Amino acid sequence: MKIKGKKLGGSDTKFAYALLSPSLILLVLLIGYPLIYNIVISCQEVPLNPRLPSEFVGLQNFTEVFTDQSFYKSVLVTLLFTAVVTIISTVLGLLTAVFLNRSFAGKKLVNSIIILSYVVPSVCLIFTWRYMFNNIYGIINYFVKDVFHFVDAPPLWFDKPASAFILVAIFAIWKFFPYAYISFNAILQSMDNTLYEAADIDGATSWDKFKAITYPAIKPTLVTVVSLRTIWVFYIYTEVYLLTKQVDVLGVYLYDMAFATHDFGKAAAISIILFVFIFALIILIRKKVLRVEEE
Amino acid sequence: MKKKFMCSLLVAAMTVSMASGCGQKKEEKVSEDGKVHIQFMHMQVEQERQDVVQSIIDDFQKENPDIVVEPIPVNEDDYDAKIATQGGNGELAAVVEYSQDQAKTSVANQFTSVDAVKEVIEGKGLDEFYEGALNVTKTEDGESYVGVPISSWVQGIWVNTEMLKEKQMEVPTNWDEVLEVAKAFYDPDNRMYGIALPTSDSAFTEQVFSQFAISNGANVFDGDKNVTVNTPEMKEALEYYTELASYSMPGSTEVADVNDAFVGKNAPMAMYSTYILGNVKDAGFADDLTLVLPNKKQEAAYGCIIVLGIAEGMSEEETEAAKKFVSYMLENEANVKWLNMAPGGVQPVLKSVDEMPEYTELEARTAYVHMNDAIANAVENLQLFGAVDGKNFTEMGDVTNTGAISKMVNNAVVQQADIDSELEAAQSAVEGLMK
Repeated sequence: MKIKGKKLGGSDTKFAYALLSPSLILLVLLIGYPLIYNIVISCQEVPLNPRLPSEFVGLQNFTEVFTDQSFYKSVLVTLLFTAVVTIISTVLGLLTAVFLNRSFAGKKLVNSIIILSYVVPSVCLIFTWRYMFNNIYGIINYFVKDVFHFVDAPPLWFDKPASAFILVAIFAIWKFFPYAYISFNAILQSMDNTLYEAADIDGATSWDKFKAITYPAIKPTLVTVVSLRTIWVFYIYTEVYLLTKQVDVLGVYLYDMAFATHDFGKAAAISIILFVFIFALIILIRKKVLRVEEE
Repeated sequence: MKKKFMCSLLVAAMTVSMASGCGQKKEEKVSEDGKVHIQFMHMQVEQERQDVVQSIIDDFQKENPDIVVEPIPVNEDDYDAKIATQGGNGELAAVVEYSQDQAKTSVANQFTSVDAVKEVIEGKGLDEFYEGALNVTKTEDGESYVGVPISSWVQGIWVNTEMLKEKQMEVPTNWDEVLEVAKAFYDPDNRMYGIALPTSDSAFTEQVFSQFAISNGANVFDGDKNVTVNTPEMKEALEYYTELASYSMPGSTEVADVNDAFVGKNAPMAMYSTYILGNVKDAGFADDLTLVLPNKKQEAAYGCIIVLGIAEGMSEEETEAAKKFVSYMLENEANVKWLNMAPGGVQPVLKSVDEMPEYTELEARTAYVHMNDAIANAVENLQLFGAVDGKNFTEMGDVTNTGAISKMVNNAVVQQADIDSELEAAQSAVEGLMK
C-alpha cells in the first residue's frame, strides 16, 4: 500500500504504534485492571470497608452460586425473556421501518411517536404501566371488570408469574423496539430506490424484494442490533425489578444474592459467570448468522 | 521529520499529563486559621432545609468559635454509595446523618466510633430520650449505640374516627377489634376496604408485619441470635395478617396504594408512618384522625430513628469537635429547628422537646397536635425485628434487604401459599444468611 508515493510499513508502522501506545495503555488499564480485580475479589470475602482485610475463600463464591437452584431458574427465565424480547423487538422494529419506508404526510410526527417510548426515562414509563395495571384504580381493570364485565374480580396482573412475565416482556418490547426501528430506518433511507424499481420491472413480489434487496443490505445492522439487544436484555434489571417481583431474571438474582447483602465477592463471581455465558452466546449468534451468510 | 517531531511531542505531553492525572494528591487537612474543621454529611438537600441546617451550624459556631462545621448535603439515592466510598477511603465526614439501618451497617464496617456516640448519649442523660428510641439503636453487644438519636418517625394503625362513628363502631384497641372493624367496612364492589395494608414483597410489608408479629411476642431472632422465624407466635401472626389482608385491597399493595386508600376514604384504617399526617391534613380530616398500635400480648410500634454517627479514626481534636456538635444537636432549640424542617413527618426522641411551644405550636403542626400523646406513646413502644433483649443484631439489615420476611408475607397473602411451608422457607433463608 502506498500513500503519497511512500510505503506504509517498517519504521512508519512502529511509529504509528508508538503514537497509539498511550491510548492502548489507557485502554488496557481501564478494561484489564477492573477485569483482573474482579477475578481476584471473586475468590474473596470482601468487607464494605476496604481498610479491613479481605478473606480468601477460594472457589466458595462460585460453588455457592452453582449449587443454588434459584440460579438455574433465573438463567432459564432470563434466556426465555431475552429470546422473546430480542426477537420480537427486532422483528417489530424491522417491520415498522420497512412499512414506513415511503413518503407520506405526517411522517416526522409518526417517527417521533414511535421513538417516544425509547427516549422517555424508564422510571416514568414503569410507573405509568403500574398505574395502568393497578388492581384498584388501574384503567385496564376498569375496562376489563367494570365496563366489559369480562371478570368478576380484578386480575392481579403483576402478581402472577405468567401474566407478570408477559406484561414485562410486552413493556420491554415496546420500550426497546424503536432502537431496532431507528437502526433499520437509517439503512433503508440510504438505499437506492432504483433497485426496487428494477425488481418491480422483473415482476418481483414484496417478499422477493425483501429477500433479494432489503435483507442483504440490513444484515450487518441486524447482527449488531441483535447482539447489542441480547446483551442489554440479558442484564436487564430496573424495568423488571420495578414492575414486578415475580420475574426472577439474572439481574434481580444478582441484586438479591449479592448487592442486597453487600457480598461483593459473590457479586464478582456471578458477574464472571454471566460474562462467560453472554460471551459464548454472542459468539454463537454471530457464528450462526455468518454461517447463514456464507451459505 | 518536523511532523514526526511534533507528533512525538504531542504524545509525550499527553502521556505526562495522563500520568500526572493518575498520581495521588494528598490533601493536607491542617487549617490555616487554627480552627478545627469538621464536616457534617446529611440528607437535607432541599434549599429551605439546607438553610435551616446552616442556621443551626451558625448558632453552634457562635458558641464554639474554634470549630468550623462544613455541611455536605447528599441526595438520599446516592447516600449509601457515598458512605461506602468515603468510609472506604477514610474520608467519611466527621458527623453523618443515618437511618438506624445505615447506622448499623456503618458500625459493622467500623465507620462509626461507638465510644464517642455513647459518650454523647450519656452526656445528655439516658432518661432524656424515649426508651424505644434508645432500645432500637443499641449495638449488637448491647453495650453502646449505633448513633445518637435526633429524630424519628413512627408507624401504626391510623383510624378515621368519623367513618367509624357513622357505623357506630369504637376505635379498635386489639387484634380482634381491628379485624371486626375491617370486616364491617369491606365492600370491594364499591371500592371500600376494611383496612389498607401493604402486602407486596417490600421492606414496607416487613415493617408493618413486624408490628403484628412483635405484638404477639414473635421476632426473627431470640436473645442468643438463634433464628426464630418458624415459631407458633410467628405462625399465628402470619395467619392473622393473611386474614386481615383479605379485607384490604387486592394483590400486592405498596406505599402509594395504602396512602391513597386511606386519604381517599376508601378504608377507615391504614398501616402507615407519621408521614401520612400531611396528606390527611390536606384531605381535610386531620381532626378525625387517631393512632393505635397493633396489640395482642403487647403494643408494638414500628419506626425509624434518625441518628448522627461520629466517624472512627479521626484526630482527637476532630473527634472532640464532632462530639460537641452532636451534643449541640441534642439541645432543645437546635433539635426543634431540626424537627420543624418536616412538621408531622419526623417526631422528637427527646421527651423535653415534646413539650416545647416552639414544637407543639408550630402552625403547620397544630392540625394534629391532638395526636402528640399517641405519637409519643408509639416512640416509647418502638420495637423492631432483630432488636431483642437490649441487643440489636446487624444481620437484620441483610434479612430485610434480601426480602426473606416480605416474600413470606407476600406468598402467604397474595400467592395464597401454604403458611407452614412459607415459615419453613423463611427460616431456612434467614439461617442461610447467618452462615
